[in-house]
Amino acid sequence: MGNGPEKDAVSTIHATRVQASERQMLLLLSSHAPLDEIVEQLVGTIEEHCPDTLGSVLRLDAEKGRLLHGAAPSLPEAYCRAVHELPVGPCVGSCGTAAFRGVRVVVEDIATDPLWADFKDLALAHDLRACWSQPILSREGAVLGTFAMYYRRPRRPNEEDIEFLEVAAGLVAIAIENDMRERELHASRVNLRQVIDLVPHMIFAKDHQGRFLLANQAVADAYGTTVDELVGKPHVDIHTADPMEVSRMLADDLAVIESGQARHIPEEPFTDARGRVRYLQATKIPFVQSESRKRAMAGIAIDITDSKRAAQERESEDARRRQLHSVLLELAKSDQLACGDFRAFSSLAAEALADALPVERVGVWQFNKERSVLTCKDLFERTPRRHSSGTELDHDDYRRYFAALERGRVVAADDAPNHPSTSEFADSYLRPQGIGAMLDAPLRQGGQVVGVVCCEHVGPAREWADHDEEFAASVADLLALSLEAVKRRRAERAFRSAQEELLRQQWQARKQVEAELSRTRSDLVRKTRMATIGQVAASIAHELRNPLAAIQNARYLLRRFLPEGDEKLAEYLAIIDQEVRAADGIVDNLLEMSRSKDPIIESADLGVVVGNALGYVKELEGIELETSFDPDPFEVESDPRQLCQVLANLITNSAQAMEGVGRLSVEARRDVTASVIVVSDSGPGIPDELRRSVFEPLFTTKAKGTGLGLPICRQILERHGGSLELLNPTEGGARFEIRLPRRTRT
Amino acid sequence: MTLPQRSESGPTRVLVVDDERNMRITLADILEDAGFDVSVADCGEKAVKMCGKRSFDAILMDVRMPGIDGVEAFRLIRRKDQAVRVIMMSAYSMQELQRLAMREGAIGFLKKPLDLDRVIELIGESSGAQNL
Repeated sequence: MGNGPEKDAVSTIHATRVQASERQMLLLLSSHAPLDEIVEQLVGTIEEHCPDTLGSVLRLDAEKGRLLHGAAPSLPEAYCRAVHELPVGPCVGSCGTAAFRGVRVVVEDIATDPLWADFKDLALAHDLRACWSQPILSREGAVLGTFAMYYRRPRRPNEEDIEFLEVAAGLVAIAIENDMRERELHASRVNLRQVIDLVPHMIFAKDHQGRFLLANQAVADAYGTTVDELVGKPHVDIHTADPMEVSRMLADDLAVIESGQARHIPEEPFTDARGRVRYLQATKIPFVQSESRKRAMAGIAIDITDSKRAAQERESEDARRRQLHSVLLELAKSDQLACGDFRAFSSLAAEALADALPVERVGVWQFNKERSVLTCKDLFERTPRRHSSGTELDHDDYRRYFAALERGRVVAADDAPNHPSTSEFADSYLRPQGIGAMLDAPLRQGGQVVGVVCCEHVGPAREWADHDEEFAASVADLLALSLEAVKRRRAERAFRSAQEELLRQQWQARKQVEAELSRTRSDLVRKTRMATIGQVAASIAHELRNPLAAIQNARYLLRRFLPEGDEKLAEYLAIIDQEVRAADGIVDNLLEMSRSKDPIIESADLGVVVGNALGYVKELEGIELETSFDPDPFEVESDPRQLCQVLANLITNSAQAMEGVGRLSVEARRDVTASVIVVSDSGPGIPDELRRSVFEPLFTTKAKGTGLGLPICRQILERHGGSLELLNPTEGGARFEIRLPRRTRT
Repeated sequence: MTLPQRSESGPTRVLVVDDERNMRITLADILEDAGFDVSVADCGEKAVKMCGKRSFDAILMDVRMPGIDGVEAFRLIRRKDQAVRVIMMSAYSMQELQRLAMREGAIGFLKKPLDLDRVIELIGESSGAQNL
């Protein structure tokens, strides 16, 4: 710039003026006065230093795009009001245009300048002719408002004026920006305070001397004071409830500060301002204070008292549930349940309920089939530990109660005499017994209530816990199960015994059929054998008898020609005769078998029959005979000839066995259905291994036996409907028993 | 047809019928020895034929023989001669047969071996009765 010396001098003067005003204004800025005041004084300072100047500050409302009145101590009030909320635009006087453009707008004559076209009347009316406007810019270059210098005469600014404009606008910008920053800082502090005070946990900071550097509302509440009271005060002055607690907390704080390590305290007791013990979970973190660089600690403490208490409650409730569960399990596993003994299980269940809940009285009741009467199967009183039973209740007397049982899993009456479901019992039962609460659970089978288990609490009303109700209902279910088991057992027993009976009958029938079959088979075998033997015998008999007859004839003739006195010849002829007769006897015997003669039953004197039989027995000599009949005489119904043959046969066998020495006995008696004749001897008896064979045809132990005697005898008796058996010997000899059925006389 | 004449006097005429030769000849000898007039036949057919030619006071007849048996022969003979006395003899002592024979008019049914005294007695009775 080609500035001359005068100019330089002028400049210096100017600079001095500007600098003087600037210094003055900076002093203003450093004061803590409110922004409006500062701006007003700034404008005043400019007007002081620049005569004839009317200063004005407008502030931009950026959102609305309008300029608002800021400070204009010398401008007429009416003008200021009119200019307030002046829009920003390309042609809105000096200030509106300057704010729009962001650069200085100098209008030397308002009357002629087109920028003022719309506003010149207003300005001229207030005797204003020139207006130079400098935009107030933030550090970032944003328009904050305008600083304007008005004059009452048209005027062009010199360099000094421009400098004033710029310095003033810059200082106003600083003032506005300071103010804005301060406001923001304040708002943020307030927000922060709000936030930490809103946090329900205790937030605090303490220095190494235990003084509160910071504390939120939760801390203040806990100590029964205010945040402002707390800050700056040592912990010990505030926390007076329990010195031990305070020293422990301070020791922790100090440890965090000195170690520089954070610390988590899962649980610590804390006595609050009201003397209540709370439990805190705290986290303490070391930090260094920003200004002093001193070490301190920050902490957050959460009150866990409620959740701790809830956990404790949950735990004790869980323990209670587990206890009830184990009681239930014991019941479920009990023999009384398994064996279907309802009465025994009722007693057990009543005791278990009374002891577990606990309640004074527990009753197990069962409906009759018609569900009209409920009978007490077991009432257990806990104090005397006494069981009783037998009380009855009529369904119709307690309709509301039974309706309630039908509806739910339990009837839980906390206040039984006044509970709608149980009040029917109030006067007759509950009050006399002093029962305050009832917990009743129905026994159900196939959806029907068949009984109920009643837990009666003697004393005042009592609140039933969920697990109490659940327990009572479960016991009721077990009782129902027990009833079911009784039914099932009964059915099973009936089924088993029916099945056993059936099997027994089947087995018996089978045995019978088998026995019959085997008897029939052996009969058949024997008869076939006997028949075959009979046929053979008959044929042999014929073949033998003819030669025997011829021999006999010849002997007869020879005897006629026997010379007198020839004894030898006579003897031989006698031998021929004897032997022919003996042979004929054997043939007779053989033939007897082949005959199937039906017996002709008639009554005969056994004594006579035995006598006849003895007549056929040759080997009787030396043998002692003994008969014993009961009654005597003894009438026997049989074919007397055939019976005689049997007896003769048996006596012959005995006589032969005894070989001339011994005792033969024939005894006879009657039993209900038969005449029994026993022939026994004192002979050697029949060896065990032969006992089964003696009745087999062709079996014999004799040198001259045919093996047909006993089979024939048995056959004869069987045709009589009787039997012949070999008895077990009592003493040595053989004992044969003849049984002949007794026929009722008509 | 003329009936064979029965002897009014003289020995009793006996016919022995048996298929067994030894039986036949011994019986014939025993009866002749007892004073009877004895003829023999070895089968039923012959016996019937002989009875058509002459009459017998008594016939001693075996039951079981080849050809027509004793009972059948007896029936045929009785058809011609109601008066003849017949004694049946058998190795069997079958009651059924015995009853049948007696019903047909047999005077005796004897089991072999024979009680020969009884045989002689029976034949004697038959002729005695006739002689009365």
